[in-house]
Amino acid sequence: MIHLIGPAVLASALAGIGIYGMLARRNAVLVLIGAELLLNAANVLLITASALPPGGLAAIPEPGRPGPTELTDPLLSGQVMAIFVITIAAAEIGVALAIVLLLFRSRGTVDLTAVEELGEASRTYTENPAGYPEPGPRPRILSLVDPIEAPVAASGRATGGDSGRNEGPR
Amino acid sequence: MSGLELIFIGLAVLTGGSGLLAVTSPRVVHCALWLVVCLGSLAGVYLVLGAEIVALVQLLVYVGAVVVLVIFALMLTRAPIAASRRLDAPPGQRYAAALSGIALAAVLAGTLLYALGDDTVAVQQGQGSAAGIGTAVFGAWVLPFELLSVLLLAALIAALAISRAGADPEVRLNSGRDGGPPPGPAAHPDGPVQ
Repeated sequence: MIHLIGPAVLASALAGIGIYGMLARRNAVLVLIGAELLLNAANVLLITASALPPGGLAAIPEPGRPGPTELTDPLLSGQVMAIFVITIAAAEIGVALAIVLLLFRSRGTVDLTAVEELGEASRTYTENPAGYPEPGPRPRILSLVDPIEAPVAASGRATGGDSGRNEGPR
Repeated sequence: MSGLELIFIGLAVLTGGSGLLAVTSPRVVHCALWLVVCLGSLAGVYLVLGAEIVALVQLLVYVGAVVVLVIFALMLTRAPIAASRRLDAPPGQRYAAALSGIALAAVLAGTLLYALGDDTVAVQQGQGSAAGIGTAVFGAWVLPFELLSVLLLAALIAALAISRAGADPEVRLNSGRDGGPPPGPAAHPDGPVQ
Protein backbone atom coordinates (compact mmCIF):
# COMPACT_ATOMS: atom_id res chain seq x y z
CA MET A 1 0.00 0.00 0.00
CA ILE A 2 1.23 3.44 -0.84
CA HIS A 3 -0.14 6.84 0.08
CA LEU A 4 -1.35 8.87 -2.88
CA ILE A 5 -0.24 12.20 -1.41
CA GLY A 6 3.41 11.37 -2.10
CA PRO A 7 3.11 11.41 -5.90
CA ALA A 8 0.74 14.38 -5.69
CA VAL A 9 3.25 16.46 -3.72
CA LEU A 10 6.07 15.37 -6.04
CA ALA A 11 4.09 16.40 -9.13
CA SER A 12 3.24 19.79 -7.58
CA ALA A 13 6.88 20.41 -6.66
CA LEU A 14 8.06 19.48 -10.14
CA ALA A 15 5.49 21.79 -11.72
CA GLY A 16 6.59 24.67 -9.50
CA ILE A 17 10.26 24.01 -10.26
CA GLY A 18 9.49 23.88 -13.96
CA ILE A 19 7.64 27.20 -13.87
CA TYR A 20 10.53 28.78 -11.97
CA GLY A 21 12.99 27.41 -14.55
CA MET A 22 10.96 28.77 -17.45
CA LEU A 23 10.54 32.23 -15.94
CA ALA A 24 13.90 32.81 -14.25
CA ARG A 25 16.30 31.64 -16.96
CA ARG A 26 17.67 33.69 -19.81
CA ASN A 27 19.40 30.98 -21.81
CA ALA A 28 16.87 29.49 -24.23
CA VAL A 29 18.11 25.92 -23.76
CA LEU A 30 17.71 26.19 -19.99
CA VAL A 31 14.15 27.49 -20.45
CA LEU A 32 13.48 24.26 -22.33
CA ILE A 33 14.74 22.27 -19.34
CA GLY A 34 12.03 23.94 -17.27
CA ALA A 35 9.44 22.92 -19.87
CA GLU A 36 10.63 19.33 -19.65
CA LEU A 37 10.19 19.35 -15.88
CA LEU A 38 6.62 20.63 -16.30
CA LEU A 39 5.81 17.79 -18.71
CA ASN A 40 7.26 15.30 -16.26
CA ALA A 41 5.04 16.66 -13.50
CA ALA A 42 2.05 15.82 -15.68
CA ASN A 43 3.48 12.36 -16.27
CA VAL A 44 3.80 11.68 -12.54
CA LEU A 45 0.11 12.46 -12.09
CA LEU A 46 -0.84 10.21 -15.02
CA ILE A 47 1.16 7.30 -13.62
CA THR A 48 -0.38 7.87 -10.20
CA ALA A 49 -3.84 7.79 -11.71
CA SER A 50 -3.04 4.52 -13.43
CA ALA A 51 -2.32 2.94 -10.05
CA LEU A 52 -5.94 3.55 -9.01
CA PRO A 53 -8.49 0.79 -9.52
CA PRO A 54 -10.86 1.20 -12.48
CA GLY A 55 -13.40 3.82 -11.47
CA GLY A 56 -10.81 6.12 -9.97
CA LEU A 57 -10.86 7.54 -6.47
CA ALA A 58 -14.47 6.52 -5.90
CA ALA A 59 -13.60 2.87 -6.38
CA ILE A 60 -10.91 2.71 -3.70
CA PRO A 61 -12.05 -0.01 -1.29
CA GLU A 62 -13.20 1.25 2.11
CA PRO A 63 -14.18 -0.70 5.21
CA GLY A 64 -17.92 -0.29 4.67
CA ARG A 65 -17.89 -0.83 0.94
CA PRO A 66 -17.07 -3.74 -1.32
CA GLY A 67 -13.88 -3.45 -3.29
CA PRO A 68 -13.72 -3.10 -7.04
CA THR A 69 -14.67 -6.10 -9.09
CA GLU A 70 -11.73 -5.57 -11.41
CA LEU A 71 -8.26 -4.93 -10.07
CA THR A 72 -6.72 -3.20 -13.08
CA ASP A 73 -8.07 -1.11 -15.90
CA PRO A 74 -7.52 -3.12 -19.10
CA LEU A 75 -7.05 0.08 -21.10
CA LEU A 76 -4.18 1.24 -18.83
CA SER A 77 -5.15 4.82 -19.73
CA GLY A 78 -2.70 6.55 -17.42
CA GLN A 79 0.36 4.66 -18.55
CA VAL A 80 -0.49 4.83 -22.25
CA MET A 81 -1.12 8.57 -21.90
CA ALA A 82 2.24 8.93 -20.16
CA ILE A 83 3.96 7.24 -23.10
CA PHE A 84 2.12 9.59 -25.46
CA VAL A 85 3.24 12.59 -23.42
CA ILE A 86 6.84 11.39 -23.56
CA THR A 87 6.59 11.09 -27.35
CA ILE A 88 5.08 14.55 -27.71
CA ALA A 89 7.83 15.93 -25.47
CA ALA A 90 10.46 14.40 -27.74
CA ALA A 91 8.84 15.97 -30.80
CA GLU A 92 8.52 19.31 -29.00
CA ILE A 93 12.13 19.48 -27.94
CA GLY A 94 13.30 18.61 -31.44
CA VAL A 95 11.43 21.53 -33.00
CA ALA A 96 12.30 23.85 -30.11
CA LEU A 97 16.02 23.15 -30.35
CA ALA A 98 15.90 23.71 -34.12
CA ILE A 99 14.38 27.13 -33.43
CA VAL A 100 17.05 27.84 -30.80
CA LEU A 101 19.81 26.91 -33.24
CA LEU A 102 18.26 29.13 -35.92
CA LEU A 103 18.14 31.97 -33.39
CA PHE A 104 21.80 31.41 -32.57
CA ARG A 105 22.77 31.38 -36.24
CA SER A 106 20.92 34.55 -37.11
CA ARG A 107 21.60 36.55 -33.91
CA GLY A 108 24.71 34.96 -32.47
CA THR A 109 23.14 34.53 -29.04
CA VAL A 110 20.56 32.44 -27.25
CA ASP A 111 20.06 35.04 -24.54
CA LEU A 112 16.32 35.67 -24.57
CA THR A 113 16.68 39.22 -23.22
CA ALA A 114 19.02 40.15 -26.09
CA VAL A 115 16.42 39.47 -28.78
CA GLU A 116 13.65 41.52 -27.24
CA GLU A 117 12.80 43.20 -30.54
CA LEU A 118 11.02 39.92 -31.37
CA GLY A 119 8.45 40.67 -28.67
CA GLU A 120 5.53 42.96 -29.34
CA ALA A 121 5.92 44.72 -25.99
CA SER A 122 9.34 46.14 -26.82
CA ARG A 123 9.79 49.68 -28.13
CA THR A 124 11.85 48.46 -31.05
CA TYR A 125 9.37 45.82 -32.17
CA THR A 126 8.88 45.75 -35.90
CA GLU A 127 6.91 43.51 -38.17
CA ASN A 128 9.94 43.29 -40.44
CA PRO A 129 13.09 42.97 -38.33
CA ALA A 130 16.52 43.53 -39.79
CA GLY A 131 17.56 41.23 -42.57
CA TYR A 132 14.18 39.76 -43.38
CA PRO A 133 12.69 40.16 -46.86
CA GLU A 134 9.93 42.65 -47.46
CA PRO A 135 6.52 41.03 -47.37
CA GLY A 136 5.68 40.24 -50.98
CA PRO A 137 2.29 39.46 -52.47
CA ARG A 138 0.24 37.08 -50.39
CA PRO A 139 0.95 33.43 -51.14
CA ARG A 140 -1.90 31.75 -52.95
CA ILE A 141 -3.31 29.41 -50.37
CA LEU A 142 -5.94 27.97 -52.66
CA SER A 143 -3.49 26.84 -55.30
CA LEU A 144 -4.90 23.32 -55.04
CA VAL A 145 -8.25 24.62 -56.24
CA ASP A 146 -6.81 26.60 -59.12
CA PRO A 147 -6.37 23.76 -61.65
CA ILE A 148 -10.11 23.11 -61.45
CA GLU A 149 -11.31 26.68 -61.46
CA ALA A 150 -8.66 28.14 -63.72
CA PRO A 151 -9.96 26.74 -67.06
CA VAL A 152 -13.47 27.96 -66.27
CA ALA A 153 -12.26 31.39 -65.31
CA ALA A 154 -9.87 31.56 -68.27
CA SER A 155 -12.49 30.48 -70.77
CA GLY A 156 -15.00 32.88 -69.29
CA ARG A 157 -12.50 35.70 -69.46
CA ALA A 158 -11.48 34.66 -72.96
CA THR A 159 -15.00 34.69 -74.33
CA GLY A 160 -15.74 37.93 -72.55
CA GLY A 161 -12.57 39.45 -73.89
CA ASP A 162 -13.27 38.14 -77.37
CA SER A 163 -16.77 39.50 -77.43
CA GLY A 164 -15.54 42.82 -76.11
CA ARG A 165 -12.80 42.94 -78.68
CA ASN A 166 -15.21 41.94 -81.40
CA GLU A 167 -17.68 44.57 -80.38
CA GLY A 168 -15.05 47.23 -79.98
CA PRO A 169 -14.27 48.07 -83.59
CA ARG A 170 -17.87 48.03 -84.67
CA MET B 1 4.82 3.09 6.40
CA SER B 2 5.82 0.32 4.07
CA GLY B 3 9.18 -0.28 2.47
CA LEU B 4 7.78 0.71 -0.90
CA GLU B 5 6.83 4.07 0.54
CA LEU B 6 10.30 4.61 1.99
CA ILE B 7 11.84 3.92 -1.42
CA PHE B 8 9.33 6.30 -2.98
CA ILE B 9 10.15 9.09 -0.55
CA GLY B 10 13.87 8.70 -1.17
CA LEU B 11 13.40 8.82 -4.93
CA ALA B 12 11.00 11.77 -4.68
CA VAL B 13 13.46 13.78 -2.59
CA LEU B 14 16.21 12.96 -5.10
CA THR B 15 13.95 14.01 -7.98
CA GLY B 16 12.91 17.28 -6.40
CA GLY B 17 16.42 18.20 -5.26
CA SER B 18 18.06 17.46 -8.60
CA GLY B 19 15.26 19.24 -10.44
CA LEU B 20 15.80 22.31 -8.27
CA LEU B 21 19.53 22.18 -8.98
CA ALA B 22 18.85 21.76 -12.71
CA VAL B 23 17.00 25.09 -12.84
CA THR B 24 19.29 27.01 -10.47
CA SER B 25 22.82 25.84 -11.21
CA PRO B 26 25.06 28.57 -12.68
CA ARG B 27 26.87 26.13 -14.97
CA VAL B 28 24.97 24.95 -18.05
CA VAL B 29 26.60 21.53 -18.21
CA HIS B 30 25.75 20.91 -14.56
CA CYS B 31 22.15 21.82 -15.37
CA ALA B 32 22.02 19.16 -18.08
CA LEU B 33 23.62 16.55 -15.81
CA TRP B 34 21.26 17.33 -12.91
CA LEU B 35 18.44 16.90 -15.40
CA VAL B 36 19.77 13.40 -16.07
CA VAL B 37 19.63 12.63 -12.33
CA CYS B 38 16.13 14.09 -12.06
CA LEU B 39 14.69 12.16 -15.00
CA GLY B 40 16.48 8.97 -14.01
CA SER B 41 15.10 9.03 -10.49
CA LEU B 42 11.67 9.79 -11.97
CA ALA B 43 12.01 6.50 -13.82
CA GLY B 44 12.56 4.91 -10.41
CA VAL B 45 9.38 6.61 -9.15
CA TYR B 46 7.46 5.10 -12.06
CA LEU B 47 8.86 1.67 -11.19
CA VAL B 48 7.67 2.04 -7.60
CA LEU B 49 4.22 3.00 -8.89
CA GLY B 50 4.09 -0.16 -10.98
CA ALA B 51 4.70 1.24 -14.46
CA GLU B 52 7.66 -0.74 -15.73
CA ILE B 53 7.42 0.00 -19.44
CA VAL B 54 6.90 3.72 -18.84
CA ALA B 55 10.01 3.72 -16.66
CA LEU B 56 12.01 2.08 -19.44
CA VAL B 57 10.62 4.48 -22.05
CA GLN B 58 11.49 7.35 -19.72
CA LEU B 59 15.07 6.12 -19.50
CA LEU B 60 15.34 5.53 -23.25
CA VAL B 61 13.66 8.66 -24.54
CA TYR B 62 14.36 11.25 -21.87
CA VAL B 63 17.71 10.26 -20.44
CA GLY B 64 18.92 8.72 -23.68
CA ALA B 65 17.68 11.12 -26.32
CA VAL B 66 16.28 14.37 -24.93
CA VAL B 67 19.21 15.09 -22.64
CA VAL B 68 21.67 14.28 -25.43
CA LEU B 69 19.77 16.75 -27.64
CA VAL B 70 19.97 19.37 -24.91
CA ILE B 71 23.71 18.82 -24.48
CA PHE B 72 24.22 19.03 -28.24
CA ALA B 73 22.28 22.29 -28.32
CA LEU B 74 24.41 23.67 -25.49
CA MET B 75 27.51 22.66 -27.42
CA LEU B 76 26.36 24.15 -30.73
CA THR B 77 25.31 27.45 -29.16
CA ARG B 78 28.75 27.85 -27.55
CA ALA B 79 27.38 27.92 -24.05
CA PRO B 80 29.92 28.98 -21.44
CA ILE B 81 31.44 26.08 -19.56
CA ALA B 82 32.42 28.10 -16.50
CA ALA B 83 29.92 29.45 -14.02
CA SER B 84 28.09 32.34 -15.59
CA ARG B 85 25.77 34.94 -14.17
CA ARG B 86 24.29 35.62 -17.60
CA LEU B 87 22.15 32.48 -17.45
CA ASP B 88 19.71 33.91 -14.93
CA ALA B 89 17.36 36.82 -15.18
CA PRO B 90 17.86 39.87 -12.91
CA PRO B 91 17.05 39.31 -9.22
CA GLY B 92 13.64 40.97 -9.36
CA GLN B 93 12.44 38.66 -12.09
CA ARG B 94 13.95 35.69 -10.25
CA TYR B 95 11.98 36.52 -7.11
CA ALA B 96 8.81 36.90 -9.15
CA ALA B 97 9.51 33.58 -10.86
CA ALA B 98 10.10 31.86 -7.51
CA LEU B 99 6.89 33.37 -6.17
CA SER B 100 4.84 32.14 -9.12
CA GLY B 101 6.46 28.72 -8.97
CA ILE B 102 5.68 28.38 -5.26
CA ALA B 103 2.15 29.67 -5.84
CA LEU B 104 1.53 27.15 -8.61
CA ALA B 105 2.93 24.31 -6.51
CA ALA B 106 0.81 25.37 -3.54
CA VAL B 107 -2.41 25.58 -5.55
CA LEU B 108 -1.75 22.24 -7.20
CA ALA B 109 -0.72 20.51 -3.98
CA GLY B 110 -3.68 21.97 -2.09
CA THR B 111 -6.16 20.81 -4.70
CA LEU B 112 -4.65 17.35 -4.92
CA LEU B 113 -4.38 16.92 -1.16
CA TYR B 114 -8.02 17.96 -0.81
CA ALA B 115 -9.01 15.45 -3.48
CA LEU B 116 -6.85 12.56 -2.34
CA GLY B 117 -6.90 12.95 1.43
CA ASP B 118 -5.02 10.05 2.95
CA ASP B 119 -6.18 7.48 0.45
CA THR B 120 -3.87 4.59 -0.04
CA VAL B 121 -3.71 2.35 -3.04
CA ALA B 122 -2.23 -1.08 -3.51
CA VAL B 123 0.25 -1.02 -6.35
CA GLN B 124 -0.19 -4.04 -8.54
CA GLN B 125 3.23 -4.93 -9.78
CA GLY B 126 3.01 -6.31 -13.28
CA GLN B 127 0.04 -4.30 -14.48
CA GLY B 128 2.37 -2.14 -16.56
CA SER B 129 4.17 -5.06 -18.13
CA ALA B 130 5.05 -5.15 -21.80
CA ALA B 131 2.16 -7.51 -22.58
CA GLY B 132 -0.45 -5.30 -20.95
CA ILE B 133 0.85 -2.06 -22.48
CA GLY B 134 1.22 -3.67 -25.89
CA THR B 135 -2.31 -5.01 -25.83
CA ALA B 136 -3.67 -1.64 -24.77
CA VAL B 137 -1.66 0.42 -27.26
CA PHE B 138 -2.32 -1.78 -30.28
CA GLY B 139 -5.90 -2.48 -29.26
CA ALA B 140 -7.96 0.40 -27.97
CA TRP B 141 -5.32 3.10 -28.45
CA VAL B 142 -4.18 2.22 -31.95
CA LEU B 143 -5.68 5.29 -33.66
CA PRO B 144 -4.09 7.85 -31.28
CA PHE B 145 -0.87 5.87 -31.58
CA GLU B 146 -0.85 6.18 -35.35
CA LEU B 147 -1.72 9.87 -35.11
CA LEU B 148 1.21 10.27 -32.77
CA SER B 149 3.58 8.72 -35.29
CA VAL B 150 2.34 11.19 -37.90
CA LEU B 151 2.97 13.97 -35.37
CA LEU B 152 6.53 12.74 -34.83
CA LEU B 153 7.14 12.68 -38.58
CA ALA B 154 5.73 16.19 -38.94
CA ALA B 155 7.92 17.43 -36.09
CA LEU B 156 11.01 15.87 -37.68
CA ILE B 157 10.29 17.48 -41.05
CA ALA B 158 9.54 20.80 -39.34
CA ALA B 159 12.84 20.68 -37.44
CA LEU B 160 14.65 19.95 -40.71
CA ALA B 161 12.88 22.78 -42.52
CA ILE B 162 13.53 25.26 -39.72
CA SER B 163 17.20 24.40 -39.45
CA ARG B 164 17.63 24.70 -43.23
CA ALA B 165 15.99 28.10 -43.44
CA GLY B 166 19.23 29.98 -42.94
CA ALA B 167 21.53 27.63 -44.81
CA ASP B 168 19.81 27.25 -48.19
CA PRO B 169 20.74 30.07 -50.60
CA GLU B 170 17.29 29.79 -52.21
CA VAL B 171 15.52 30.75 -49.01
CA ARG B 172 18.23 32.79 -47.37
CA LEU B 173 16.71 35.35 -45.09
CA ASN B 174 18.85 38.21 -46.38
CA SER B 175 18.12 37.77 -50.08
CA GLY B 176 15.32 39.93 -51.45
CA ARG B 177 12.50 37.89 -52.92
CA ASP B 178 10.97 38.75 -56.26
CA GLY B 179 9.04 41.95 -55.79
CA GLY B 180 11.03 43.06 -52.78
CA PRO B 181 13.67 45.77 -53.00
CA PRO B 182 17.18 44.50 -53.63
CA PRO B 183 19.37 44.48 -50.54
CA GLY B 184 21.82 47.28 -50.57
CA PRO B 185 23.38 49.91 -48.37
CA ALA B 186 20.53 52.32 -49.00
CA ALA B 187 17.91 49.76 -48.03
CA HIS B 188 19.76 48.50 -44.98
CA PRO B 189 17.30 48.62 -42.10
CA ASP B 190 19.95 49.05 -39.44
CA GLY B 191 20.70 52.54 -40.68
CA PRO B 192 24.11 53.84 -41.69
CA VAL B 193 27.02 52.09 -40.09
CA GLN B 194 29.16 54.56 -38.23
